[in-house]
Amino acid sequence: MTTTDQRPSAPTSPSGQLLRPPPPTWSQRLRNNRWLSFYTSPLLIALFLLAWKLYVEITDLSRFVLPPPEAVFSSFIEQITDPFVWQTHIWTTFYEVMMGLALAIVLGVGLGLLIGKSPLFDRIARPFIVGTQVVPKVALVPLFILWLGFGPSSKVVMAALLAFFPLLINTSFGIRSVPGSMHDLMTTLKASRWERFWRADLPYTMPFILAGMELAVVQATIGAIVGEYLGGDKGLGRYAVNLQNGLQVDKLFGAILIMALFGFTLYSIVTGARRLLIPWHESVQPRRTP
Amino acid sequence: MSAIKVEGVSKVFAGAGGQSMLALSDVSLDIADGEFVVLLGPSGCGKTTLLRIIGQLESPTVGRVRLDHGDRPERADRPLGFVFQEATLMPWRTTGANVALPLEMAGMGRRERTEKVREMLTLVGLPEAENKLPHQLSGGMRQRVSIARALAHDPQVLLMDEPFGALDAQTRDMMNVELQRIWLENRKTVVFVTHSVSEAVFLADRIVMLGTKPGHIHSITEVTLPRPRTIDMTESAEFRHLTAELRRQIGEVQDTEARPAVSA
Ligand SMILES: Nc1ncnc2c1ncn2[C@@H]1O[C@H](COP(=O)(O)OP(=O)(O)O)[C@@H](O)[C@H]1O
Ligand SMILES: [Mg+2]
Repeated sequence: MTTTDQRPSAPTSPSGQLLRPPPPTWSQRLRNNRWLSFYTSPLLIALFLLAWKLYVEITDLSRFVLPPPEAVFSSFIEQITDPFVWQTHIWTTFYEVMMGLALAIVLGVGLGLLIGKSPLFDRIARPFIVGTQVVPKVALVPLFILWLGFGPSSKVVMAALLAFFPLLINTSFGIRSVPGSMHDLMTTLKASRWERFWRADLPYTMPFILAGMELAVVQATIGAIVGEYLGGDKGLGRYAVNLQNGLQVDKLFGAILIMALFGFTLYSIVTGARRLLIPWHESVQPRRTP
Repeated sequence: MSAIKVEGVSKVFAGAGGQSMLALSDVSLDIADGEFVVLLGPSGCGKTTLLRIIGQLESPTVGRVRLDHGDRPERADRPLGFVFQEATLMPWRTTGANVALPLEMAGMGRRERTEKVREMLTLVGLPEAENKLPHQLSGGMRQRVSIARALAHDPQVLLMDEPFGALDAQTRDMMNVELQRIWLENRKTVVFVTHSVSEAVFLADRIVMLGTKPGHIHSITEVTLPRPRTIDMTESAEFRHLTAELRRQIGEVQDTEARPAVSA
C-alpha cells in the first residue's frame, strides 16, 4: 500500500505546503502489509522442515515411524497427481462435506431464525437441540452406518450434525442482537413481517451466519472424515485407514497433508464469501491504524 | 386545525419484581398542523414514552392519540417520520440507500428515488455523501442522514427524540439552525423531545414542560421570538428571560432525589 494522495486536491497547509499523513511506523507498515504472511509462512514452514529432517537424521528413526520430509513430499506429489485419488477420495469427501453443509445451513439457519425470533419456540426446542450436542457424536457413527450404509449418506449426516450447531447458535444470537431501534424504524415505516425480515433482520444477521459458517465448514470436514475412518468405503478418511493398514507411512503423511489443504481451501472459500456478501462489515473493512 | 390530538393518555409499565409503574398520567395535548412543539423535562419524566405513543410505537394504557389528516385522507396510511436518539442507519446500506429506504418501501421507482434522495441529501447539506457507508460519517453527519431519511417520504408529522443529544455544543447549535431552516421550508408538524432548555427555546413554537412522578404536563409556554431565529438571538434579553423561567420550572418539577443537573 502506498500513502500518496492521488485525489486532485490534496490538502495543503496555509503556507502552500502539501500535507500528507505521517509516514507509517516500521511496525505499522509490517502489520498493514497484506503480503506479510506470504513471507513469514514459508519461512516458518522451512524452519519446521529443517527441524524435522534433523530429528530424523540424528535419531535414525525408522521410516515406518517418521519418514523424512523429502520422502513425504515425493509421496504427496505422487498422490496429488493421481487421478484415482482425486476421483475416489477427494471428490467423495468434498461431496459429503458440501451436502452436509447444505443440510446444516438449511436446518441450522432455519431453526436459528425461528429460535431467535420466537422465545416460545426457543424454550420448547432448546432441550432437544442441546441434547443432540451433548451426545458424543462420534458414538452415533455406527448407528448411521447401520441405517444408511457404508456409502456417503452416513457421512453427509455426520457432517451436517457437526456443522449444524455453530450455525444455529450464531444465527439465533445474531437475529436476537438486532437493535430495538432498528425494529422501531421498521415499525414507523409500517413494514410487514416479510419486509422486516428481508430489509433488517437478515442483513443484520448475515455476519453472524458467516461467522458460524467458518466454524461449520471445519466441523463438516471433521464429521465427514471421522465418518469415513470409522466405516467408509471411499473418501480421504478411508484412504488414510488403507494407507495405515498397508504401513505406507510416507503416503499416510501425504494423505494428512491433502486433508489439511482440503480444509484450508474450504475455509478460504468461506472467508472469501465474507468479502462478497458483507463488504460493509467491519470485519472485512481495512483496519484503521490506531 | 389540530394535526395531533393526545387525549387523556396514561401509560403503565410492568416494572421490576412484578410491580407496575405509572410513567405518564392523564396527558392531553393538541398540536396544530405545521406547529413545532418541544417536549421538555428532566430525564425520566416520560418524554420518550409520550413521543413513542404519539408515533404508535407504544400503545397507551388509557386514553388515545388521534392523528388528524383533515381534508387529506390519503395521508392516513403514509408513515410518520421518526428521528431516533441514535441515527439508526443500516450499516450495510450506503447513505443514499439509507435515505431511499422509506421510498423503496412505498414502492417508488428507482429513477424517481435517486432524484428524491439527492434532493434530501442536499436539503440536509450532505450532497456528496451519497455513496459513503454510515461508518465513514461523523456523528452529526449520520444524524443528518437520518433526518433526510425521516423526511424522504414527505411525512406530514416528524417526531424527533433528542436527535442532537449526543453531539457537541457547536455541532448541536448548527444542527438546530439547519433544522429550523428545513422546517421553515417544509412546515411539517414537528414534535421534538429534548432536555436542553436553550435548544427548546431556540426551536419551539410551543414548549410543553413535563413533570416527573408520574409524568404529567406541568406547563405550556408559547415562544414568540421571530423566525428565522439565529444563534445571536440566544444572547437577547427575551431569550434569556425565557430560558431562566424554564430552568426555574425544571428545578420545581425535578424530583427531590439528587439528579444530575439539566444541561443548558
Ligand atoms: N419499556 C419500558 N419498561 C419499563 N419502564 C419503562 C419503559 N420505558 C420507559 N420506562 C420508564 O418510564 C419512565 C419514563 O421514561 P422515558 O419516557 O424514557 O423518559 P425520558 O425520555 O423523559 O427520559 C422512566 O422511569 C423509565 O424507567
Ligand atoms: Mg428519552
